Amino acid sequence: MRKDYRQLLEEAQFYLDKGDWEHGVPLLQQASKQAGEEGEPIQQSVILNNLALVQERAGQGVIARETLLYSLKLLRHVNALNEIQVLNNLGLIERNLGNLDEAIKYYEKILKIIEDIDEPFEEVRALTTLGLLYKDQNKLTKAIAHVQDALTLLEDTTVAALCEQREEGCRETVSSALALILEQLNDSPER
Amino acid sequence: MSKDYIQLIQEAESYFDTGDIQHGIALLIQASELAGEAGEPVEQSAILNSLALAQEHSGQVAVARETLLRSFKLLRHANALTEAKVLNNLGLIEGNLGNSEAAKQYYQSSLELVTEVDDRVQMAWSLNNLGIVCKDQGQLTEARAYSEQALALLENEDAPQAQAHVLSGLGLTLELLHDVEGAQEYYQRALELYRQVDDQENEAVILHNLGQLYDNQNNFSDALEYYFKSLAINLKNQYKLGVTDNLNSLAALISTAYQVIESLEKQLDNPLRDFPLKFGHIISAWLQVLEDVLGESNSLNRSGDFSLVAALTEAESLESAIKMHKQILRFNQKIGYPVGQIKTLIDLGLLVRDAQQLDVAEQYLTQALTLAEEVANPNDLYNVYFNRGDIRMMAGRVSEAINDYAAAVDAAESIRTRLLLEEEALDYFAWPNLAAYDRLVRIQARLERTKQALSWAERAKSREFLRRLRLSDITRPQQVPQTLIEQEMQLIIQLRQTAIDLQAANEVDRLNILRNYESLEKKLCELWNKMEQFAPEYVALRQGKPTSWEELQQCLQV
Repeated sequence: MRKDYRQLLEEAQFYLDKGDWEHGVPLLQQASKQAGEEGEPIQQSVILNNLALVQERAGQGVIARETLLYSLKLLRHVNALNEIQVLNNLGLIERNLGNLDEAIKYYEKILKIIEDIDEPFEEVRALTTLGLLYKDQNKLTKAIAHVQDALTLLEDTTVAALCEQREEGCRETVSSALALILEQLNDSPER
Repeated sequence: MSKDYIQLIQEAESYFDTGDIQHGIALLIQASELAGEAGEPVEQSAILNSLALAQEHSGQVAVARETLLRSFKLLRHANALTEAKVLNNLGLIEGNLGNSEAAKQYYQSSLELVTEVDDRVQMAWSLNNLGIVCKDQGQLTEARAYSEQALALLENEDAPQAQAHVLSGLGLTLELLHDVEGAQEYYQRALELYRQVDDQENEAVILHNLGQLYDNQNNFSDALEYYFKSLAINLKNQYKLGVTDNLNSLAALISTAYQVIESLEKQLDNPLRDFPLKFGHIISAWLQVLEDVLGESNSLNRSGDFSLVAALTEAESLESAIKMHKQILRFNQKIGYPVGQIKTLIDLGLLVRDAQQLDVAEQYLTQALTLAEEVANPNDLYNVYFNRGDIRMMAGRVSEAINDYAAAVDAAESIRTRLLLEEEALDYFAWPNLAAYDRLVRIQARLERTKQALSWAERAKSREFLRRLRLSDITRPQQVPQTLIEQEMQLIIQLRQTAIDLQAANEVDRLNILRNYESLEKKLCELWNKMEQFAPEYVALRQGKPTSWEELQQCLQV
């Protein structure tokens, strides 16, 4: 039976406690890979962090640096996604309460977080929601610009496929948002 | 058995599936508390996120908002801490690879993250790490201020490991400021705390630092004791960097001791003649202790490095000591540890020098210089230039030796100019750091270059004078535009006031004042760069550069 990452970690720790790094290091590497495959990026990052310290102690400073940079990248990505999830909900609640300015702040914050990570689906989603929020405030030029940005992202076929995978009908949602804004534009003298 | 939070989440979900929202909500609240108690903030935040959605569905929108804000705060805090941890480790590795600036940037990023979430213990870690990098760059006032602020932050915190880390950083800085007793006290306190939390890796580091402290005072027996205690831990746990540091220092100590013994034995009134305990016996006894410790933990056979230690302790002759150092150098090179390589290359150079192979000795020192320039630790640069100067002197290449001593003086002065507290500046030029000036004065005098000899003597004496002159009232040359003069006067007044504040500041405020001082000083340097085209001598004097008597007279004329 295939071992899970926790078992591998325990085994690695057993060897490392005895100072036997030759056995401990490969087990830590396996555990990290396994945690990634099990969809546990935070655990994967923690394991990589420990692995780097072991590599450093073994005098492999340059390898340890690579390990840590990878750990940091993973961690920043998953931390950002977790924060985006809560911010999305906060934005949703403020929107439902009619506090559009507050809601906009949360979605703008999401866009700021996305700058540092490659997460096009969340970007498309935040841009579309922002477009709709600006529409509700009758700031139609801003609204169109945001939804257009989302559509531009979807022109990339890889991005479009990825978004479709995450949310069926993603492109249609964005197009409908644009249609709603344009409809309001036709009814309103404000730009 | 009480349920864990995962079971509670599962139960809550089954209530939600049956539409019993209120029961589900109550269970999620319990689950969130349990996750918090279990020290799982990310999980707790995720539970709160789900809870908020359930609250929103049941129409409790304002409550849901509060729950989400709490979830976000928890998540930000946890995320900041985990990212800061990785950033601190990256800083550590860059520091060990000799990349001080990169290390500083990682620590700075880590500090920003943990300051944002107001975590005092983690702030102390990052501040102290910054202090240690500043120390390595020869910025000792900053180093001390960072570490002291870190210590103040930890005053009411139950964080023995962080406290030990800070105390150790302060010890290192005080050692460089020649405050041996202060350094010793900090190391002992750190040692106690590391033992309390069973942090063996750092316990070994402190034991090694204490060894070095005694070694530098020529207290060989105490130094040996600490080195061997540190080595036992490092070998047992296979901490390679620690082993390398121990081997570097032990090799230097043993070869120095044997050389001292050899020269004493040539004397008729050898003070060691009737001394019952021979150095070789002491070393053998320590080796036995080491063997026993490793044997007890069944790590003797696995530790291939033990044989290197054993061979090292038997290196009684100069030739065998050189051979040993070469092995240790390869060890350092293998693990890519430039700081260790510099130390071994200097020691190896000195041993080869004693074996009268001056050209080889010079090559080792030149290799050390290349590495020291990369690492850019002015203390290392001083040691390399000074020792290479000595070797070149012995080889009769006087003008090259003079250049080396002059470069050593520059390295020492670069540290000195960064000392902003009076007592530190006065302590810094204690005897070891004056040796390069001393060599220069003596050589120039022997060459009957009286003027140059006098100039170096004056330079040594005038360092404090020049330092003070930087911010004193000097008549500005007429050719400098009035606007620049006024800006300079303003900045100097502000800098003087900040310097007074700095002297009076407590440990907590010192770092902020220091940052203000540095920013003012940066502005003043930029201004002086603008003024240089109008009055270069005046600016040289202001910058504390050595000035001729004629130039001084010109500037001091009222």
